[in-house]
Amino acid sequence: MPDAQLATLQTALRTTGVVLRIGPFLIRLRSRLESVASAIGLHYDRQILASDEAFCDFHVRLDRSAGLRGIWRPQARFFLDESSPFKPLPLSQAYPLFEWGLNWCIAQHGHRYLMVHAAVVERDGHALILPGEPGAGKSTLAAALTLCGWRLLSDEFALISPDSGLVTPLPRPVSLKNESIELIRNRFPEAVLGRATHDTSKGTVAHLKPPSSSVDLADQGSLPTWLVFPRFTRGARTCLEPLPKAHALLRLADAAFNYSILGARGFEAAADLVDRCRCLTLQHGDLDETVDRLNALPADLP
Amino acid sequence: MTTAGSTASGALTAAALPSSRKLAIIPLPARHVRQWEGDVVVFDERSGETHVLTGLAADVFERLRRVPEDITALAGWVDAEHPELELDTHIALGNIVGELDRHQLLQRTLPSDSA
Repeated sequence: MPDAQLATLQTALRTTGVVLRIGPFLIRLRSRLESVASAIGLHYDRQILASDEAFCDFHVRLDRSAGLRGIWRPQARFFLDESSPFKPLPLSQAYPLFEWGLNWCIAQHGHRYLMVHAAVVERDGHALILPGEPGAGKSTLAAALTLCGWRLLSDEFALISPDSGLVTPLPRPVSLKNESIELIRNRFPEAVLGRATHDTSKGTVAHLKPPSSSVDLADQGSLPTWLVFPRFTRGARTCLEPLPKAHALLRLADAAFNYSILGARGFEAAADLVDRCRCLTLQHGDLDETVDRLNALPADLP
Repeated sequence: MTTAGSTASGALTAAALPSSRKLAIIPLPARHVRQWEGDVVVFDERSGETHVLTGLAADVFERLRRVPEDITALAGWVDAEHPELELDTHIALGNIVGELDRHQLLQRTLPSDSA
């Protein structure tokens, strides 16, 4: 972002706040922190709306912690509606704190969707959902597939509409951790990565800017075709195997943030999704080999 | 969420049942029972629980959903449909009926109730 635009963004963040459209959510963000301004300018430049947008889903503020402690150990604090749901983090982690806080906001309030902890990418109208625990490699796979031409729908949430079965896009920066950062940087020199933040609870974190093409199609949902549960094993050969649908449903429910909260609607949405998709497990340890195998997934339905 | 298969061991619950009572699966909305590849997944809206039934347990569930039967008739059906079963039919059936009971998916009727 050019310096003049960044200065305007900083002023807006300090005063009226900046409204971000991230998939189906509007977020009004205020912050006096330069690191937050530069990260927002880098990653969300195409998602900034006029600040007079009347309604926002979330009113977020990120600022330094007040008090004496802030003098010798500066900290950043996340506020939602002026209350702070988390402990402060070191000031250097202000931008990751924004992303993690936003995850929390969506998980707490997005109950019009079945929300699954998953990365989602799309190719030719077919969505690939990659649910997984931290460390399963879903962000790395989402980043690599996106940089190979798939559309990024989400790094963290599969937002599934119970009525239509469509996945609603939530294009946000992909959170890469530790060795994945250099892996993606070396494999895809054109990737736009933000500043790395060290010593977080997840190790070193850097965010990959989502492609403009993914952001520009944020209002176009996609029908799920593949449900693939990845597991990263260092050095392992890529192994894609069918997963019985009954077991896929249980694993999907385990990976959902609000399966129990939605009750029958949650079951029906999850079961319809499993019914529609080819369900597979993926063991992976070699990025190029895995991307080749996923690129070759046939789109014919079971 | 629970999973019930055909080989689980447990108390012989079915043996204690009055044989004149017919067993049936409670009424469930069709959308809350899904069948894939011989497995059955059941969502019970009363408890919010999701149950997976595999193997013989899935077959018995489907049979009792269609045809309420007493335990003797059900054992006869299992013997006829599953001649390959290595376990004693009554023990296997006892475990499965016990499992369905624990999930509160069974109801019992007198013969006259279902006539």
